[in-house]
Amino acid sequence: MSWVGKSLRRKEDDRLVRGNGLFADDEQIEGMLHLYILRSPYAHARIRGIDTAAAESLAGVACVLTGADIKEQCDPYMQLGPEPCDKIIDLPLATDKVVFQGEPVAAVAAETAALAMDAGQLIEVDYEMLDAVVDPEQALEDKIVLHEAAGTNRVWHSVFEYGDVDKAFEDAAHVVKIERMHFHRFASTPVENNACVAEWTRQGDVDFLCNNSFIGFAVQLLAPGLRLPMEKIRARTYDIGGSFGVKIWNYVYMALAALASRKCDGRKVKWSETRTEHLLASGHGNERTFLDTEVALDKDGVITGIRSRHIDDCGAYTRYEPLGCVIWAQVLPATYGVRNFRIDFTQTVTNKCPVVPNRGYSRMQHLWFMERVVDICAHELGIPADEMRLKNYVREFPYETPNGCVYDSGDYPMMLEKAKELIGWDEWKKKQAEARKEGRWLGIGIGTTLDSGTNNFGQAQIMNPYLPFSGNSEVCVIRLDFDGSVIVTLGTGPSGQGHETATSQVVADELNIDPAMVTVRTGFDSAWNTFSGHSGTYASQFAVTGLSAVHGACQKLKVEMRQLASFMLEADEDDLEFGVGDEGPQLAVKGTDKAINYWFMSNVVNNNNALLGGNLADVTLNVRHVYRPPFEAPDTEKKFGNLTLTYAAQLHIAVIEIDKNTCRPNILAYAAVDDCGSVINPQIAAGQVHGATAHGIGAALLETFNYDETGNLLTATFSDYCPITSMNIPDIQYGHIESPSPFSYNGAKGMGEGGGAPLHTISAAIQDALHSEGIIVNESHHSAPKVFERVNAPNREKVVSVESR
Amino acid sequence: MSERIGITVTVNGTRYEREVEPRLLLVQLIREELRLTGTHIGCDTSYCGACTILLDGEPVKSCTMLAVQADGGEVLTVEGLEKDGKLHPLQEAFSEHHGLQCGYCTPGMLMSAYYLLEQNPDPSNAEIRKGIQGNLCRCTGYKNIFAAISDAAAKMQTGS
Amino acid sequence: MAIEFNGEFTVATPREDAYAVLSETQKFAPLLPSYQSHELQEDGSAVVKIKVGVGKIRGTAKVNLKLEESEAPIRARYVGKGTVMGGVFNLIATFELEDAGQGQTRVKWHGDLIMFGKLVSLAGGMIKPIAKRDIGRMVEAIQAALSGEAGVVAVPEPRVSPVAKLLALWKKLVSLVRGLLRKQK
Repeated sequence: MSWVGKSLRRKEDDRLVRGNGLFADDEQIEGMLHLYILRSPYAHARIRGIDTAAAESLAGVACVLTGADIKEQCDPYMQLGPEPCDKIIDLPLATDKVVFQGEPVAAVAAETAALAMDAGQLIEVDYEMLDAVVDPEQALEDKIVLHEAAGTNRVWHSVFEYGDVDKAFEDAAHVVKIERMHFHRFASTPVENNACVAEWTRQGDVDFLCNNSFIGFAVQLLAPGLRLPMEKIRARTYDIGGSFGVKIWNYVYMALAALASRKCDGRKVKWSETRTEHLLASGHGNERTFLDTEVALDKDGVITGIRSRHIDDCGAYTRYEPLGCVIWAQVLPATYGVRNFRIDFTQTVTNKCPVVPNRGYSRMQHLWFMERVVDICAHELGIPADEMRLKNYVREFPYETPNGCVYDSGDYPMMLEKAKELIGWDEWKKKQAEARKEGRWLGIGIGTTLDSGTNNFGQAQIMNPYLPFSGNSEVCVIRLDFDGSVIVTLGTGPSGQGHETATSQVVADELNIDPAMVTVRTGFDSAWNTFSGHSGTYASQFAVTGLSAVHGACQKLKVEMRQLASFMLEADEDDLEFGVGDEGPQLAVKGTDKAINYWFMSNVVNNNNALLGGNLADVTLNVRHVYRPPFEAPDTEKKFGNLTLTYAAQLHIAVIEIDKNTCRPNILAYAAVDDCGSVINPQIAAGQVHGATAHGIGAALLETFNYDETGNLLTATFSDYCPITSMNIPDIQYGHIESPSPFSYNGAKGMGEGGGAPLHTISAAIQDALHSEGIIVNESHHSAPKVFERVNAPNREKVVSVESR
Repeated sequence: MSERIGITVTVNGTRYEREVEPRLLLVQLIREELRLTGTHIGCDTSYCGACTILLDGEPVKSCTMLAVQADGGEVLTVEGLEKDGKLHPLQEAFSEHHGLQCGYCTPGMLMSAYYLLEQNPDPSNAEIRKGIQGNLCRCTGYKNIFAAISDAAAKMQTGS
Repeated sequence: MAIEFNGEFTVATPREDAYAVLSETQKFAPLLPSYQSHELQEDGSAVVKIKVGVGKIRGTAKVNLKLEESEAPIRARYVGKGTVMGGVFNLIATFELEDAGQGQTRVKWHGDLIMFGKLVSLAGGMIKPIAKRDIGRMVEAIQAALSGEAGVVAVPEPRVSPVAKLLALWKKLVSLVRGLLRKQK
């Protein structure tokens, strides 16, 4: 019986549907204090003084933290980037200057959350407002510099060049030039805000119950920031209410709860963010501008070369950035066979919320760019959108991209065919022709995207050659428990991806037991010592790294079980077989009734070891496996190497009609086809596709972080940000194909981020609807006001030009 | 803010008497005073619905109501859906159809769905969408939630 | 959100007298809309309290007002910083005085208002017209004060400040939304 490949009902659900989950904010301890963080209303200001006297004298206030405490007790958080990023002073509280609206300037711990907030209102901060810079191109002029020590806003720059790009342009039959494109700022903001309960004990140990989703990494940054050895920090999670990458860097704020606990003699301190705080300051997705793009094509419309200049806006601090300046290169040519590239890539800081590795991180932005390139070229050259894709898709796998990445497997034409079938392509083409006769704006758009999973951290060295990161790893510990059941500990710290269930399925198959006999410990705990520096849930990798670690641990456990059974049954290891007997799962001697069940094996090792003899001292039935994907460090000079292990793909088609009166784009039909290789749990995999699709549709049509020119966030509540609801989501026709990955033991590919497919697809559909109106879709956000602006100011003449020879 | 007001609230069948600050929100009463942490908080503008409960049979976003306003009322939270060790058909259906991932929105979503099916035992797809429009889910894209509610409705009608 | 205002008016007061009112924080502060009280600080600035709120919800907003620059009798420039629920605002008000002959003075004024916080995102495009109207009222109050007996400043009738109006608007929005939510069926 095989459990892998089945839609096993999730183990997690038993507690979650009852309301019995434990999310960080659910933790309640007698005597616990509550933390309020006072944040800057200004995007850019100097702090001339802070008066906390009134707050401190309020009854019920335990302590107040300001920049002065932080300077005394903290070192700036490590920034991953090279010069000048390393000059940026990034502390849990601003000390001399604030650089984005929502940046913390003080914190109060009090007996109740309401009291802490009351006290926060009594703190007087004397700000000297400074001019803010929110536009990335203006930021690069350095007239307003955010971080004086860095001396410039330009935090990273390099050129990615592959093939012979200039020759491609010399030989081109057509050259399409696109002046400017812009990918907007949004976040896959989870429903649960950031939260933690921290305790700084009198012994100097720090304990966090938190909802950070990449703890293996966070602790490495948090410990030096707090001037502690790593082992002094214990960080735990239980249930996490969604992350989508946004909760990767809440460690910045977790430190404040710990420091408040320290100042309050070790009392536990809970910090729980409000939604407005979350939207202001928890982390946004990367915003990117594409300038002076030139595309070389042959006479048939096959793209032969691309030259372009990209500016990424990472907000006020670099932190995890400028990693995004390299991550996109995992999907350099997208799903297309383009061999010649020159991409000039710059990143700048601006007075906006810092960015986080938001779902689809950095690849999504670049894939949108490539999709716009392909789509705009198709429209400008009069090539049907589907034919244009078919002319340019990569067809042979494994495929080595111009920068050394290896696309493991796939079949994009088949996905296109399947999506066309789902949506009823031919029928819609007819309807479109009729609609156009009536003067209606109806468009059909295709978006093809990649979800590259399992990072090679070596790519961080392309960004900063001195970074001590490469490869990837994940850890699993598996133990045969006293009762013969199996206990599995992971390093992944999931946030809704069903790791307990998928892991149980893999273990059940490997050990020939029912998934009910497998207990996967919930959440993450650094005290379990089951994590590496790469451990966490991010970058679409669990099905590969997590499950490979589980699989490897199972193999090690089976080796020990065989050794033990061989001794106990006085049989040769080769004569043993796993199976189920009258007394449950067992190892038996083939062709006999001699067997030892799992309970007894555990009993002999743990409670009854006088029976144990021979050379079995090392048999513990408690094994640890670290999975390491076969990566090599990339060539940092040439920016060449395999940056990711697997490439899941998605192909979406949307039919959109734009209401001519309101300019509102309405989705009339939507199909999504997914290929993530072999599937462990089809229901979970499909759920990831649905979720990523909803995020993409929300981002394309509703969700945006709008800043005014002073750096004031205009969409700082859900009511303004408008996350997609049940009323806005179209009916999605879902299909999938399976191209097993040759690089993972189970043929699975990491998935879940989705590569922003709806952004590409909806942009393409709107392009298709409005091309005849003289409009080039060169932005990723399509709210009704945006479309209204666009149709009232046709931009084709200005934005695009075509030279044909 | 030292003034306190005495209130009596019945939650999931249990009567509670508490002295509360006038500014205490109903959701805070439920989560912090009564320790029923299944009801969650996700926003501050009544948009997300993670805190949805039923008060005297009507769905309420409990972050948008003061605890004192619930004085004398009957509250039903997610913890009250399971009866005699048996999950409510909606809870079963959400799990069966994978209508939850992280589970954070689930309690509020279940309460809205519960109310919907009480009012309309056989809702159309459009009615289901409308019934949970005040509940935000960031994980599922809603598709499986629609399926779960629809299936629960069918099962409740046939009594299976 | 940044809003710029400007305009001019003429008063039947000699320039020196007009300047005397405009350049003294003590006299200028009560001209702010919905003025309640003020307290002079050691550095010459004033912490001015203005009333905000409508109906049963009432509160006070604090503005720190400072005469940043003055040149007798031709220019006075105030910088103000205020805190109100859900946000902060900065105000720069410059008055330039020209002798208009016959004992009259032409006052050219220029204001920059910058607002930050939730208020701006909630009330969005509605702020500008409301703020404009209230600045207009403030200018009227100044005009009235300058036209009065020199040195004696009439405290204008308390009026609902722009901030209070926004607050009222916000409260209305909130109660509207809440009402809708209670009614969701």
